[in-house]
Amino acid sequence: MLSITVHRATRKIAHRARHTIAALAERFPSPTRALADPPPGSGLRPIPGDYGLPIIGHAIPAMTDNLDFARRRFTRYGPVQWSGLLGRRVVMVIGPEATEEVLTDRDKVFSAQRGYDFLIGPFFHGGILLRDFEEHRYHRRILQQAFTRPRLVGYLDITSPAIEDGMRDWTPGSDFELYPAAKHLLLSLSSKVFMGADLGGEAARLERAFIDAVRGGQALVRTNLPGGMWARGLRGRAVLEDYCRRELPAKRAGAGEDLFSVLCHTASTEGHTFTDQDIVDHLIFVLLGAHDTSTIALSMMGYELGLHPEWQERLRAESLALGKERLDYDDLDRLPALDLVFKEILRMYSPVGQQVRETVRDTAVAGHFVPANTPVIVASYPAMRLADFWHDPDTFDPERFTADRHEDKSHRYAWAPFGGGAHKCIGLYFGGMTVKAIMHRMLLRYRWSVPAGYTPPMGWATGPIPLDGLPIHLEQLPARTPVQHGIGGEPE
Amino acid sequence: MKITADPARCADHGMCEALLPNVFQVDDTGVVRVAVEQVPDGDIADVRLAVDSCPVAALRAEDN
Repeated sequence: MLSITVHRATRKIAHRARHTIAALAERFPSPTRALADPPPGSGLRPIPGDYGLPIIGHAIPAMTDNLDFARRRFTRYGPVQWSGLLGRRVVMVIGPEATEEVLTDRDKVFSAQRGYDFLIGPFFHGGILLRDFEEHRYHRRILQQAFTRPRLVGYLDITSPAIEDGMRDWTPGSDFELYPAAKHLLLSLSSKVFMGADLGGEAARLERAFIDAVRGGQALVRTNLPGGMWARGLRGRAVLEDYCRRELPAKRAGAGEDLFSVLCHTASTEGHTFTDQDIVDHLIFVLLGAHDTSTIALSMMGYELGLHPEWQERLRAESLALGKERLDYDDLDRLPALDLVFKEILRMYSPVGQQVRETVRDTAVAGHFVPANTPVIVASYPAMRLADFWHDPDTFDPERFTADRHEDKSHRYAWAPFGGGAHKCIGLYFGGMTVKAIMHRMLLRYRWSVPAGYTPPMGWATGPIPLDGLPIHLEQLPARTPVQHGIGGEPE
Repeated sequence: MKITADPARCADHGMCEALLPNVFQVDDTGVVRVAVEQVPDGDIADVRLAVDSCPVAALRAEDN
């Protein structure tokens, strides 16, 4: 207990120190300049911005204080601006119109491969997001076969028992750390749904490898120094790849329902199939796409429901009224309040906080000139937290998504936590289904709370993450049979 | 091949649009619209994939 307290105090101090450094870095005088002069007669405007600190630019606030940083830039420069970031001049766009232009990419000028290569290429190369244009389309058409409705039904069938297994080691108490519990639960879930395996003795090693690969992309020192985050990331990737390759022959020979098996047997309608390397690449990337993102969604949902007991009770009543412990695929339509909360959580804590591209030619965004070879970041997380587009954006208010209020319908790209265009998240329904299935069980089995006014310190990974483990007061509910529709009367 | 979309079922997931933006277009209100009268022969396989990929089964494709 003492060690937990000391550990948390240390994390809190580290968090404050990062914020202080970020605030100091932001006071470094850095003159406003145009990113590049628009071609004469083009009618385009230059993009305003500033570099920030020498070399690293605005990397510290962008990585530690992403929301406030982006809001400050938006207030100062508007929806299209540039910043220095780790040696490069990077354009950031905020807001639905510019987001739509970049993500729908009608002129095929925004390369996701080049954008993400810089950030995560060494650890996640070959993933669907690290491919472009025609080649991307070829792969997406095969990968999509693994995400059709019948496949999703199959994955949910594997998910439900795995949730029950994974929750078995949850120990209720006044200091239950939800974030690591969610991360661990989702990893054991992923191993069953994606790998079709109980990893057993290898689980801890693979978990470590995966976490290292993800962290590699967040290294400030972006080179292969011994003992550095980058080097650990590369080793993590190698461990994952080695595991997948060892399992591949058995998967090719078998007929499993897990994603790994499905990828082995999937073919486009023209009969195109994935090579061994493609399968390994896609699988490792899908893990990244699914795991950290669902962890953020699940834990931040737990946090907001702990802070808002009226919503927790509303969702519990809805889950009880469904009358079953395991969700079937069609039940996902029967939990409308849970869906409102899910959408609100993705708005407030967008698990993929930004989309990254790089221009392959000179182009324009929202009337601004963007030269070739410029990294462009779509700031989707901050955009969903701006008062310009959302009423009272920092307030948890799931009913903003009801048919009556429909704040999300102000623009097609107002609510865009899954991105858009050709790269729109292929697992968006899969992710929602997984998080909802876990939450459904959590609501039936537990009641939880957090102290009034408690706000977790937030850091940055694929999106915003809580840095303090998200302690909640978790209480086991007495076992009861969920009430069946129409025969058991009202729940509670 | 003719495609029909059920606006009451459509929930704005946009999987169809990501695959075939010229055939499926989701408007600001979040409802899909089929933008072609007849599906070009080259797109038939992809339309079937888009129909199978709609998470809420809002799309149907029928051969003429």
